[in-house]
Amino acid sequence: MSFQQRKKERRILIIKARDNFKKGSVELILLSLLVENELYGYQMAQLISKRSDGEFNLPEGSMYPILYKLEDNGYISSERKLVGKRMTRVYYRIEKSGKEYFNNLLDEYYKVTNSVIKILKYNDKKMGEV
Amino acid sequence: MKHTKELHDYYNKISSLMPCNNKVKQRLLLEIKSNIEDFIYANPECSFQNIIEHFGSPQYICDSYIETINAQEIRKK
Repeated sequence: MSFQQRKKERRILIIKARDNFKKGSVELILLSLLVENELYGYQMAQLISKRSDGEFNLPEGSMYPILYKLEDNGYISSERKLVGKRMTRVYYRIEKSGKEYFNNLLDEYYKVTNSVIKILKYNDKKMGEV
Repeated sequence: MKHTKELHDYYNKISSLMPCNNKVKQRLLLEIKSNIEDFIYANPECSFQNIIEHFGSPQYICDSYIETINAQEIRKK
């Protein structure tokens, strides 16, 4: 395998890893937006991009399965609204149980990220000692 | 509407790949269609490739759906 091919493969692996990091936090991010306001899909995608300074660009189509799962579990609800003459928008709203679920998720998220940071910092420290 | 033919194929592809019932498919397509209209309205010069980048390829959307359902649900289908 040439140097260029190895470089390309590594780049692909990094993109996949980054994608997985993002996927793990999408549910939490969507709920955090709905805690503030009732929103439809396009607005959520816009807010995610804006608040992350364009760093967290989640393909919008992949948000819907997560929203449907949250709705099936009763954490959010949706309402169809006709916009103009023929366009329908689906607005999502967080429910009381969704707020509780969001707070639980947030706690777990901080616990996990803090422990990952601790492990990584431990490695940094060890490497500094060598 | 811009990119009519490409979008028609895009919706058909999503519909054929999604491993879910028709109700979920119709709802997903309704939302994607309406939000693509918003996207095109906000970005009138966008290419079809820009739309795919923003909304995801049919395969990516389908994979995202599969990731959200557990093994038991898949077996039921």
